Amino acid sequence: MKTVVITGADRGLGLALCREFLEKGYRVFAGQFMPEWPELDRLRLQYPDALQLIALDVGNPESLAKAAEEIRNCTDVVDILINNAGITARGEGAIGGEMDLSRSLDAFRVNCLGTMQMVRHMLPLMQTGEKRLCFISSEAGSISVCARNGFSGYCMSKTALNMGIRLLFNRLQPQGYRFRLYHPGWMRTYMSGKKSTVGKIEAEESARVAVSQFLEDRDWEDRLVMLDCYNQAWPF
Amino acid sequence: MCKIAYITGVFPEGTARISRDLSAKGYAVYTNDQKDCVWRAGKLDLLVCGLEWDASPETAGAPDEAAYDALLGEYERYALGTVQVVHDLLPLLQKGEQKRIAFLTSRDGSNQMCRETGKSGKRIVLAAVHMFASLLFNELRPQGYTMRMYCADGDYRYAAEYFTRDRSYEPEDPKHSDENRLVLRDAFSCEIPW
Repeated sequence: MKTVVITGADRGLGLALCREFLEKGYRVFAGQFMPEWPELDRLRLQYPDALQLIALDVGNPESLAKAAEEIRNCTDVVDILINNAGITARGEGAIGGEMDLSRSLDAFRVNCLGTMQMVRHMLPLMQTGEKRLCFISSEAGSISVCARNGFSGYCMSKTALNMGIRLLFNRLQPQGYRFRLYHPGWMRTYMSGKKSTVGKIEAEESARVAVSQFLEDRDWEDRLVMLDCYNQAWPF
Repeated sequence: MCKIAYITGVFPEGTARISRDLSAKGYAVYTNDQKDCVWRAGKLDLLVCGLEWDASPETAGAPDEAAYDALLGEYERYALGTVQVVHDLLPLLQKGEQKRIAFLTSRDGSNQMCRETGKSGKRIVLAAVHMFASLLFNELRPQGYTMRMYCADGDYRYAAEYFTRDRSYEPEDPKHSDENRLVLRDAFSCEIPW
């Protein structure tokens, strides 16, 4: 049975990804940040053998280390790592207005630094697996087509993430790792704390596209390209 | 009153060269810890935000190998610190006539040109600041501000010239105006991809 680790699996895209991989017969380690949120527990009732919940706060180095140890105790191999966990940076507005940079630092800590650390912890388990490294990024990190104005620590954190991924790619792709960089589209998600009523796509729909991209084989593995839920390419 | 320039975050060699060149162009130039002087002047025409620092050895390698606290600290100090500098000086820039913000940065912040695996701290911070600059441009360009992004990488010879020379601008044809584009350029005025 192939193995996938998914961070930020409590709800939204992460939860939908779990479901997709479980239906395909994968063993899934689901990073759980919000134990009070019931969906993962419900999903576990459906897949008691295949789904394992791992307490995981990617913004906390101790939590990352503990989660990694727990995964190591359960499996020798991880085939796919999906770095999905991410947060917004609230309270952003005009650059000349009031700013809370602590929230921007949190966004960097979770969205970029946490992701890099997760890769570090999982790499030893991935060397004999399928070597698929998947990252949920965002068009928000694309400078070339940046259309927002006003300060956004979230955008900065996603651009930082994309640079981190580039550096990983340069080192690991020649070793046979396959990189997938995915922009999930404007989803109706829980990023703000409750399910958004605006957005163009449901998390389940985006997850289906994501999984097809994550699992496909490409004859252009030596190119790092961000694709979205419509299979369109985005510039950096 | 002559134009006022403030330079911060540039290595001493660059600060000296750019100060000299700007002075020759008639600017009153203040640097680093002379921010009070700028406030006393009551206005700022040209802000030069330098993104040069001696990176910690702990962030000199790959991003998954970088020391956690060191990388977090570099981001806070140099990425968010730059945001803070601009935020703090915006009221003075608003009173200036030129309304120009320049970033002295590096090719290391270009994602698309990067073929290396190290210097993660520097690269990640620079890329994030480039995004900040893009957001800033989108917000401030309609208010009449113009911006410059100069990849020095040790070559400061043409920085002052690039910061002060106006780019093509045709109000009746916004798309035909270089001032309406934010680009990274090196010392030879060649564009570098984000």
